[in-house]
Amino acid sequence: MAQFFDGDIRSAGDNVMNSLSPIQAFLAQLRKELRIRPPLAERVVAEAEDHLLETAKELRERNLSFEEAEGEAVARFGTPENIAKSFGSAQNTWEATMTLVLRISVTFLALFTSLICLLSVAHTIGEGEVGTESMILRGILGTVVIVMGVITIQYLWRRGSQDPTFFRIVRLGSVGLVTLGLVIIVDAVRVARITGDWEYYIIMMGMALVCQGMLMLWSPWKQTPREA
Amino acid sequence: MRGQFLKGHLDFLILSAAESQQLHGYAIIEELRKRSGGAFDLPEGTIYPALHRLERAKLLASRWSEYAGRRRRVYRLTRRGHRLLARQRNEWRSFSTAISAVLGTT
Repeated sequence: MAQFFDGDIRSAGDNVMNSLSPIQAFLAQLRKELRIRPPLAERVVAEAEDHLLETAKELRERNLSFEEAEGEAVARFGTPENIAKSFGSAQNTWEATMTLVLRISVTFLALFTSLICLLSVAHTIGEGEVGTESMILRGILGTVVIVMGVITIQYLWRRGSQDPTFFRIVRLGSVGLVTLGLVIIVDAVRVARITGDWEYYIIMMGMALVCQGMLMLWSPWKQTPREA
Repeated sequence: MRGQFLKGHLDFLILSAAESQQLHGYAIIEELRKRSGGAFDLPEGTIYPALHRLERAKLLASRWSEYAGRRRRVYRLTRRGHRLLARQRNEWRSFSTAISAVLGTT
């Protein structure tokens, strides 16, 4: 039954496209093909519309019919696919640079936080001055951070990581990192106020976690693959 | 004229067309056609990705204007665009002189 409905909707869509003027049909197709930010896409479509209407007007002044003028204007403009592709590649240059910057920043932060966590756990075990519970807690914390670091690096540098589930996990992990970072900062400040001993490396680690999480949150948003 | 020849010079040509006045995309295409005596006849839509690219590079600035009841985006050269155009113009003169000398067309 669903197939029948799909077919009806598709043929209804085709009818709508057929009833549009050549310029309107071209603009609808261009809007569909553009893979850029919606405000920019709207601007491109508005500019194309103005251009096509201007060309058609000029052609009508040379005694072409309305249909002929619009058809010729569209033909001169090029195909929506090619234009959309050109915009895509122009955008990608900027995005590629930003992605590289992000990759390097997040990788650095992931390595930094993981190293600090490792050192913190090793220090705790070495001194043996804290209770087992605290050691387990620090161990878990360190493991989580290191695992997230590994996931971050794998996600950022693995080509073709197009699985939406993977992106969801990364996003969830990013929220976790931000939360964890904030908790660490707040706790370090709270303890420092009581004891007067400011452990700056812990605050720095918390800040690095927050930054790593926020960059990861932003990064998947830019690259989330289209779900089928 | 073949599109490939123009492709590498399109940005430079656009900057040159928009040098002395604010123009919209259609008028830039017309200006290029007019100045080249009809030799530069590109698919008209190809100019828009180039315009947006030049604007991102801060060589062009644009704003909406109103014409016959519809919105129209007009472009003008920025100071940086003027500087680059002047530099490219000089480079082009040296280059074309050298090419002409090699080809024996001078």
